[in-house]
Amino acid sequence: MEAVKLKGMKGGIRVVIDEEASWEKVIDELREKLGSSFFNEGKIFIDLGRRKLTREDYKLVDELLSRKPFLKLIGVEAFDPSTRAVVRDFLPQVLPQVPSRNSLFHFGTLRSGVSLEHEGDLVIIGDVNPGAEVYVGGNLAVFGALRGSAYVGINSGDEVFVVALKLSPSILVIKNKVVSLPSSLSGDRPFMVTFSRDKVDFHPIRGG
Amino acid sequence: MGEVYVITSGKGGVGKTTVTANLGVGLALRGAKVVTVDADIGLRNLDVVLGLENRIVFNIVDVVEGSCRLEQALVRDKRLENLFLLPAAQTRTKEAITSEQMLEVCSKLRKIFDYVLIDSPAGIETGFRNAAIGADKAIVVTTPEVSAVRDADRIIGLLEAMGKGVPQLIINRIRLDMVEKGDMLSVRDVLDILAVPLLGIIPDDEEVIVATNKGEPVIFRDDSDASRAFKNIVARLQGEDVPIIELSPRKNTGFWSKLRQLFGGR
Repeated sequence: MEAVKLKGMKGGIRVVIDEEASWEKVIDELREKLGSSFFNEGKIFIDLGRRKLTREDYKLVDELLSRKPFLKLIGVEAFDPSTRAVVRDFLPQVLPQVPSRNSLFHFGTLRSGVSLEHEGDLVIIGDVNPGAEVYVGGNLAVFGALRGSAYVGINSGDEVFVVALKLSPSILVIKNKVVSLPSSLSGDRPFMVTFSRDKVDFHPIRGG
Repeated sequence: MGEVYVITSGKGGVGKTTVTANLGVGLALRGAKVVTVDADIGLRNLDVVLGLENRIVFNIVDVVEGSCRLEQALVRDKRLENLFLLPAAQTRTKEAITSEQMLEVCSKLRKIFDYVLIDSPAGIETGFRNAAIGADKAIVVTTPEVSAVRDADRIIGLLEAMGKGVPQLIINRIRLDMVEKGDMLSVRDVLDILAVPLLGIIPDDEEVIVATNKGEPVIFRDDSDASRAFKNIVARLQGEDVPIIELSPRKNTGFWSKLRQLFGGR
């Protein structure tokens, strides 16, 4: 009996995974089926049914999919709530579509006592240390640690984002609102803070 | 031509003067001809730490004002004949000297000495700028405290802007027990922020306080941790490759290493 069934659906392929088969068998079949060049591109939807999966289980699926960069996973169906939570962590983030305006690249770390102002988007290749501050009209990206103060989105429309490889700012103000970071947010891995329609969201950024 | 170092920190009380005195003594003990310069005019301390306060006749302000020759103001150390002090004036302010005058003093000193160590005042104003202006290289001293690290960061930025290049860092008064408990920034935490080369770390050691009060720099002693740390730094300044003993929490907390610790090993 097949552990993985492929069904055509509107706009893509529905991958139905048997609820009883061993996960090992499922992964093997999935590897075999996705391996064919037929699946090099297009959209797929995965149906897990009532199956319960741990993070490690789903990671195997994620790894298979990551080898197919043009195969787009558009959704996963799972009845089990814990499985849903696991899967959600792996799904690609829906990031705000913000047009880039007047970007400035700053090379080097901003040390304490330094203030940098830019009316458009700002990209810093380096750290923003405690005691340094940036005033940014648009979005802010820090290829390093953001530990200083950041005032972001001063001139921009409704949607703003801040991204940093390490996010632990002394003060983060987005569009005149002080953003308090959840204490669970670990400051030593990449994070993005989005601000959209007065709502602040935090997204971990995973490596590909 | 000698090398001119400025020892600075931004924040006060982190140990600039103690470091200057000990590095001066350490380099002199190895045979170099050394002068330590107290640039903290109005708040002089280096003479006390070196135990030379009752030998001062002239000071750096007398020199730049032409009241005496440079050689007359130099105080020879009572223990080492190749160690000297150019004292600060206690009754004047930082404005008593201009940057041009400081540059001139430095260029004269570097012709006489192998090492010129300038003890900078705290702060980022005239006093600091005058102390740093004549230096080829900078040593930044910090303690593992958030406030000291932030000020050190500021000073590093200012030194870079002054064209002094990337300074070397000394982390002073680190306490292994507190780092292990997570109550103190570790060497790694400090370097993570400051991102400059580490010249050395000095453990918190009561001997330093005793030595400072006696006017006898701790590096003269053989039996203290701080003394050993200073000696290593001096060796590194002279180009020796002395590994830095990492005072970070021990990662190995397994059964065998616990057992070894129980029997006195590490």
